[in-house]
Amino acid sequence: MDAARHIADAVMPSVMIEGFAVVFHAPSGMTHLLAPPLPEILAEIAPDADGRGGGATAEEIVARLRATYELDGDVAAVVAARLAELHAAGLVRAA
Amino acid sequence: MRHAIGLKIGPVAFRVGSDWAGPIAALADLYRDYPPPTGVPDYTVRLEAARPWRRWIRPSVTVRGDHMLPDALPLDLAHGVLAAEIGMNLQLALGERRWLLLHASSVERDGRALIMSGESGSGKSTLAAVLATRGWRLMGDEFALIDLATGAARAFPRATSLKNGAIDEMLRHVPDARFGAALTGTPKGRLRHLRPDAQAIARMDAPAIPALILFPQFGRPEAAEAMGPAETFVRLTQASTNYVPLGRAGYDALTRLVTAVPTVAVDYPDTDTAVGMVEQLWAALP
Amino acid sequence: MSEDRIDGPAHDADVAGPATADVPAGASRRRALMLGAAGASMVVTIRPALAQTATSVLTCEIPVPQPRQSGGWLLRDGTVVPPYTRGAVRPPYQPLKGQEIRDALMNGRLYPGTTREQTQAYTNYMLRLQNGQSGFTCFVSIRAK
Repeated sequence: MDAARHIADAVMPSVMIEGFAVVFHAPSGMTHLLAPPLPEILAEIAPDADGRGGGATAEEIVARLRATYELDGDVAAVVAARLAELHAAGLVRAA
Repeated sequence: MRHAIGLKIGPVAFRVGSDWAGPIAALADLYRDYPPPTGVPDYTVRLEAARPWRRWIRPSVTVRGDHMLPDALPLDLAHGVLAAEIGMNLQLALGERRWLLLHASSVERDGRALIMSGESGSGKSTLAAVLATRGWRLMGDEFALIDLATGAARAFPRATSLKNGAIDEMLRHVPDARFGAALTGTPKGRLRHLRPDAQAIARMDAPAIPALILFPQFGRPEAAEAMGPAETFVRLTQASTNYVPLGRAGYDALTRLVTAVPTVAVDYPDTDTAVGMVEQLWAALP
Repeated sequence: MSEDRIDGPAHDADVAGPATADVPAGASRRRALMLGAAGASMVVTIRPALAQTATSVLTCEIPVPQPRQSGGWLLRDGTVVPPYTRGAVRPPYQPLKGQEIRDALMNGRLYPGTTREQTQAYTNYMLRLQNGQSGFTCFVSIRAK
């Protein structure tokens, strides 16, 4: 995996509704419904409440997810695909 | 403007000005039982002649106001009261930031609100008007206003706009005298406005706590299905005219609404069946 | 993410209180996380319509650039720069009409009286619009149709 670091674009309010994380991205004013594992991935790369820290490479994200959850299948491929989706949605940027 | 009227509908005060007397007289008649507004209007609507000679020759009304959609098609003077309604809708839909606006009718009982969201043709306005004849208080036929801080519903009981078959339906329940003039050949077809009853007008400033959300669909066999809050959330963002401009406040208000209030999709073949379904669903609430 | 109102995803198995000998820390307390297929889409972005009123939403207009940046020229990527900047194009004389924007987005038509370069710059400008900027809601509603 490459060494690019990814960070959640902002501290985002989130409400769990029927298993989706409904998040509000203030800079764009857009609302998104995120299905797992997107909220879990975002949680791993979010800055703290003051906007500091956060950010991880894809490999680090995989490692953190493995430490926290039971995972199945090609985790690296899925994490890469999910990160691309989060970038496209404007919720994650390069750190 | 030559002719003008001030109207206060729920918490919203309008000033409607017009190049012609006709539409203002029609509004004065529809809203004759409403307390007059005091103070500064929230929005201005202007019914203008598109060109100076259009005041007299094939008169057509261009709707303008604080908020406008430019290049909107002008309307016949005969449909001036519809133009005023469109103008008022536009102000609210484009300009309102004090409440989350939903395209929904609403009625109240015991301090709790039933909110019925739907497109034109879903029957939401007729259903609200019929429920108002069965002991419910009419809060609104087209817009539900949700308080951003408290989540309470506020009433916006304008004269109910009924189209085509809905007019005949309502004439079964209320006398002709409650209606305004009949308009034919409008972009929406045949139209008549129904004046809200005395209770709706007297209590227009009383809020209510949303307790049930329905998505009614007229003209189908009787059926009811619970709708999950995620789907409800997405559908209500489509039914809201100001969710996006409200930003965080809209997000907070709408997430709170869908997580606190159950939603049911209701199909019904006729309004009597719908009223029965509403009573059943309401009685089943905790 | 912070400010979860309803419980968000669980985190590390925290050992609260004395660990019992026969419960291994970590493994058995992790919950399963469904990853989904790599090709599936897991994001639903809300794209609301504008006002559902009697008038068509395609009658709204977007000033390019917004009044606060009036007079600015546009680079190909939509950023606003001072007039006559090298590589920039003139802005349109009038606000762009909803129908024209829709034709450009859906059918690749040029805005009336413009070059392909200008059309692309105007479209990219609108794609960059943020909530609160003039024309944002109009553009969102055109894209939603």
